[in-house]
Amino acid sequence: MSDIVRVKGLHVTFSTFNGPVQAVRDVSLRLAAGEILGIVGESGCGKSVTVQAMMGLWPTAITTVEAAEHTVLGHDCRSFTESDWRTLRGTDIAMVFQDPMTALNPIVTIGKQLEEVIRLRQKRRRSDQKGAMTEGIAEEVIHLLRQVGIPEPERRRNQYPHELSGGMRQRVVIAMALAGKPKIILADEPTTALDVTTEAQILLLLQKLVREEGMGMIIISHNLRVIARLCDRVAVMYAGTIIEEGSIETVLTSPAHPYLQGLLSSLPESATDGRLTAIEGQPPDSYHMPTGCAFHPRCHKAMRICARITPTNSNVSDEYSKRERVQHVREHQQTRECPHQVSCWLYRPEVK
Amino acid sequence: MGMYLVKRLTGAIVVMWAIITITFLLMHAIPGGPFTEEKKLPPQIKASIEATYHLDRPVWQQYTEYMGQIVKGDLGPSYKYIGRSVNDIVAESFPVSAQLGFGALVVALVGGVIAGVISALRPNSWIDYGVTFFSTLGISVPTFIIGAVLVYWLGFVWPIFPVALWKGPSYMVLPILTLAAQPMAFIARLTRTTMIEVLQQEYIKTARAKGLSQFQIVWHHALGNAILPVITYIGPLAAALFTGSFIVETIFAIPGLGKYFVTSIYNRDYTVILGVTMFYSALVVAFNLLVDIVYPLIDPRVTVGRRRD
Repeated sequence: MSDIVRVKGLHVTFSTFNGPVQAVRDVSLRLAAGEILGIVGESGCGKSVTVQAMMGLWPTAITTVEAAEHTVLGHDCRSFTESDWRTLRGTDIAMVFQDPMTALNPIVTIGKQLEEVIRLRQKRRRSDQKGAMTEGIAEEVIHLLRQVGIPEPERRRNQYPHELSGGMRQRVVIAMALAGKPKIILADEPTTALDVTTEAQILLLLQKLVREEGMGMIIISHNLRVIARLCDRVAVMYAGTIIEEGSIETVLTSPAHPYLQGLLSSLPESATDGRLTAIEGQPPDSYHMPTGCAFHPRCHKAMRICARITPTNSNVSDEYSKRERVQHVREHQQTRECPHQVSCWLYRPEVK
Repeated sequence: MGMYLVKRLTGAIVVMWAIITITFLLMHAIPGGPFTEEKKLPPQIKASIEATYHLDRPVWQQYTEYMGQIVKGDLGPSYKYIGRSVNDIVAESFPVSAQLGFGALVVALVGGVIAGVISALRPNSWIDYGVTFFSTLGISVPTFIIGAVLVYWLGFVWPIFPVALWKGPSYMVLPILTLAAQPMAFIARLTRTTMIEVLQQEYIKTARAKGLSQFQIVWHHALGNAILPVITYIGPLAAALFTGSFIVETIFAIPGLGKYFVTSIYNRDYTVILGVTMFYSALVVAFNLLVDIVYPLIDPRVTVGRRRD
């Protein structure tokens, strides 16, 4: 399967008054057409920073983005300038932003904000293939608004963001990402502002679009249920790195990393004696990262090596799976070429 | 909207009445009168002049008489410029002040906003430091020094522009620049600050993620938001500029209204003081009303009469 996004060894560092902060450390991700990849993790673990870096949104003045490999639809983006990025944004790679209250311009009608993207797409596609220009921008705006479930789109398109509820605005933000008919959608908690019913509708819509149009989508969420329902693969982030990755079934049914194990057992469904379990401690302060594995201070399985050397990715071995008596959906793993990987010393035979 | 206008206009009348009354009382509280001079007039002559203008009557009676007059639109005769009414003085000199003020307003707005936007787009670059330097200079250096420097360089060293009087477009350049310097510097700084703030907003990131060009982002998404505080400032600024600046009018010998306003106080020219004060206040009130009406056209979150969000 050819990858439409491929990132290897991504580092994002912000320079702040208190010195540099490494928000993302050595992240590698790939996304295939028609695939949905989920990124989960708690607030501040670098999920949003990662996806925004994937479309070059960080200003170079205060941010250093480095990667061993960064390709989007075959373009090597490592040396992209802002104007190089501009040619991809909107029509090839689009973003659904997290906060619908601030992601829309307060003094421009939502119709106009959608039109901009449609016009841009028509302009670009026209130069690509002559005569493919479709007229009827107003109709398309109405169609997009209806598609994301906004009632009375004819009236709504002339309204300003403050006249819409949070949920409506979130749908507008989603419609705006869809307006460019992109091949890649980066969705940063697209349904956090919505109620459960609407959330389900929007997720179904996104899923349908990805499957039908052959788009690829990376969706960020801290809601494991959303991820479980929607994604093919999932990457779990902690303190700026991906600690575990694999097919959704494998990762959620047989979590390998102690952090993910703790996270899953803290869900209400897993509560055994009526009490919720929690992971002790706090996520690390980005100015004072622990040495070695960032999770070791909170890890009840920590070994001496964990505090000294950062573990690298490795496949979770079959041996482990058998020993721990967890159910693997192994056939699935094989067909999707999606190894279950974890960054933890527990799974390295040389450490034993 | 109609109801709102009625309310605002009623409010304006009350404000005007209060201004007239306070000015009237303060004016009469200053010792002396229009006919008190160094060279003492013979008492009988002074008494007969004062009787002509009803200045011998009690203050409350003068007040009611004056109020009766201005309701009819008559600002009364000048005590100093014999034979000229205050209406004549305003009608004659205001157009000059208004030309000067309008020119300065346009220059200050266009120049200030452009300078502010440019420096906000390249913060901490040499061009930003340049704008910051000149705007700090513009705000802190008094108008009469700016005027004098402009006269010296553009009037004498390179005699490009005439340095006095008000006879045609070329005569307007130096006074307009002098009058515009301070507000332009202020607007540049205001625009720079709000523009930098706006450029950090999420919706600008959204606009970038949409693939819009830098021009579209700045022009369609950032400028409208960044200019809102500037619009609020236009009301009082326009009134101040239109009524002319005494200093600029004095430096360039411009026959505007500002000159009369200041000299009338020395002269205790009661009717001119009152008339010009009233005219100024009416302008301030009118411009503020205008800005309040125009504001919702630019910021839809604000509806006429109440602020939301």
